[in-house]
Amino acid sequence: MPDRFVGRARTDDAIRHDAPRPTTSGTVRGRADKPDVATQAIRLPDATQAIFVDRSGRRGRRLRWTAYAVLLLVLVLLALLWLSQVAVVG
Amino acid sequence: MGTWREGQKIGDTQHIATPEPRKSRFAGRRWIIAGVGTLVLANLLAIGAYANSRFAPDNEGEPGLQDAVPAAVRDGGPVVDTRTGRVASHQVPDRTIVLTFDDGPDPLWTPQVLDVLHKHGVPATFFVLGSQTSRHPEFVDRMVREGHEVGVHTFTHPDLAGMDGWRQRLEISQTRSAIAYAAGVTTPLLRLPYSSGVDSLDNKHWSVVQGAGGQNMVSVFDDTDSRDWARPGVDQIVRSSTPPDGRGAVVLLHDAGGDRSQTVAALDTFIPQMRQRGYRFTTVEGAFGDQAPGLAAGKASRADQIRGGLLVWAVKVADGTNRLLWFLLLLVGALTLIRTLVLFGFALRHARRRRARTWSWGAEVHEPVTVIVPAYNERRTIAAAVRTLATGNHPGIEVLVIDDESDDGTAEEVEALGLPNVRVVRVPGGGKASALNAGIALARHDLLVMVDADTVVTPDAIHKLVQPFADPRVGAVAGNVKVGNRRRLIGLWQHIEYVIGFNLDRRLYDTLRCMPTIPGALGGFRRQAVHEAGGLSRATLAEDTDLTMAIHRAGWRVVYEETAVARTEAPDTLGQLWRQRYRWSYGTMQAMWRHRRAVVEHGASGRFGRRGLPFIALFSVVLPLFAPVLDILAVYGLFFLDRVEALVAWLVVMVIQAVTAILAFRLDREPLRPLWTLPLQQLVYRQMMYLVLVHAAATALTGGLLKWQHLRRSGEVAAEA
Repeated sequence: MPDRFVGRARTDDAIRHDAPRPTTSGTVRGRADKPDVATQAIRLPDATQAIFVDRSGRRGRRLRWTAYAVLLLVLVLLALLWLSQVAVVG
Repeated sequence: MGTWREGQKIGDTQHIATPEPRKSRFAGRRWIIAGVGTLVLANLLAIGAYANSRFAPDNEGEPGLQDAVPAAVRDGGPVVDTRTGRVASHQVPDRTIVLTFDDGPDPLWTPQVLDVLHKHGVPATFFVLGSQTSRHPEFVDRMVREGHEVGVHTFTHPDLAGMDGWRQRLEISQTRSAIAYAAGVTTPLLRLPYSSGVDSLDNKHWSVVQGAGGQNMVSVFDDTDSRDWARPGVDQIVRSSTPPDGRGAVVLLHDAGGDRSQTVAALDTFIPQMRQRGYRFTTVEGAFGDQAPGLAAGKASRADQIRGGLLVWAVKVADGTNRLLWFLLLLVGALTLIRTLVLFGFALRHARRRRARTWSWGAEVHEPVTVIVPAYNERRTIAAAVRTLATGNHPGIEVLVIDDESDDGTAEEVEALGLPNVRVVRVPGGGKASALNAGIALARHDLLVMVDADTVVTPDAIHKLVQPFADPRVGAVAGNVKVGNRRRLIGLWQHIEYVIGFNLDRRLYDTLRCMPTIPGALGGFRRQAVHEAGGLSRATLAEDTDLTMAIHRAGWRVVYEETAVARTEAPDTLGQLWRQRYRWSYGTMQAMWRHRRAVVEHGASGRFGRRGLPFIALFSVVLPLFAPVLDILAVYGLFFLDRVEALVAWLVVMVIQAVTAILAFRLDREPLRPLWTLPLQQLVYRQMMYLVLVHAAATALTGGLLKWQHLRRSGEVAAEA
């Protein structure tokens, strides 16, 4: 039966070989677990989410301003058309 | 307590869990946009009508009095120049032919005429119509590029003699502008519509010629009239065009206004024949330029071109709008006709099958039923509704009233009835869907019936409603809901609509297995089907439509039982009706969108998605959305087309509606008397329903939040129960 190593494995990590001692500088140093950025909480779909509703109002604003712009352009063109006809026969 | 959505409290007690939307700054402007849109459409239709003015081909009428026409003009040549205030008339030199073409350009015949002229290397003068130039500017450009001359033949081909001065000036100036845009030239040549030789010039037309001179225009008449508009045959056209004794002539021909194949063929003969006789071909300017200076075309100014561009594009857009409207009219007409025929066929077959003695759903269903009545502030109607439900003749009816935090004593009203088979449960205000879900959870039986609190039922309604559950494949049943409050006109209109909707549409949907909605007023459900459908969702404002579609997708059959009758209270003002239908339309769109994936799914869901959803979308959304085209073109026809034809077309539509209504009323064994309101319904109610649908579609597009409003109850139906 091969020898079994029981205990802590050796490591090259210099910090772990140091004996604990109080810090000598104002800055706190040490190691902390990295935050787990790979995993995110699943956001469940909201069954009460109202369909078509855009709470930001962005879609409505865009459509509204597009409608304003188109209507204004058409109105200007129509006004120009009528004025150009009236100007000639007037 | 309150209403929660997306993890946030969005309101306190409400009948339905939708928050009160903020007052939109846009709300008032909607009507301005609608008004401006209507104004633009009216303008386009008017421009289109003007550019499409019908005219008769040239013909010879008897001239009127001629005493004011100078003898020098009547006996002179075909070119009359009054530009300087002095009258000058010019003859065509001998052995000279000026070919002139009126009424073009035409996309079919003008290129053929130009090809023949090009083949023989002959120039000609084209008197074009402004409206036609606007539609086909490329041919006018080609004329000028190939060395031809272009003149004015007015914009819409009216008889200028009968018109005001401003209208005459408009006809000429518009055509000059269109030519300026199309070919970049300006022309001083004019040919009056319906004119021929100078000998037929009468006093009225002479004043037009003088007026044209004031606009720096020279009038061009003809020496020989080919009379090609009458299509007398190629030889006759050639003979009519040929001047006698080697004299010169301005020849009148047409490159538009009908079939011009004879003109094209005659040209091919006429040109070589006249050349053999020693004739030369030239333009008006080529023949008269020496005698009358200033006949040549000039370069159009930038302002003229811009003015012409505006006009040309206005006509093009107006024509496009016109074509689109006519196409939509055909589409709507065809769909309506198909739908009517299909409705008739399927509804009659459905009714015949159901009334057959052999018809049965299976063994009679006697299983106990839980009737769920969601109620929010329904004190005026709840007692009558609950009493008719609880005293129904079906064995084992349990009525479960879910009081959605009412504050008008609804629950107490029910408790005061003291009926042993009625339970009242008070739930936190969460809306109708939540209340129904609570009712489903608390129901003691597996057969469920959902009834609105403003609805009363006949004693056997519940028993008949649950009979289709004898078939284990049936998951939901729609009852036959009628309008109970019919004293006012608005109630009668809705009554007609309900009878048609329930007796024709639902029979059709039942046959095609794509019933879109089990009405909230009276619907039966198998608890398992509701569970498999996921219960009632608050995601849409038409929770009944949403649930029905989900039940279809879960593989259950949804059927119609016309003998289960309920009477409900319909909105009694136009404002209330608008709000109700606005919500229904919006909710139906939401439900269809929510279940859109069914189109690509397999199994029962896919079957509903591919068969039912497109059918519902086509006939419940697309057809009503485009149906206003019927009324728009009816109004357009009254103003711009043959009024009798327009009126007849509109009456035909009304007759179809009337026949449909009569059939529905007969199938439902309803008296026909309310149908006297049908003509008025076509004038007010139908248009209002269009606007509601457009409003709902606009809200869906812009992402607006629709407001739910609790309808005011009159208690009329309850009082009669």
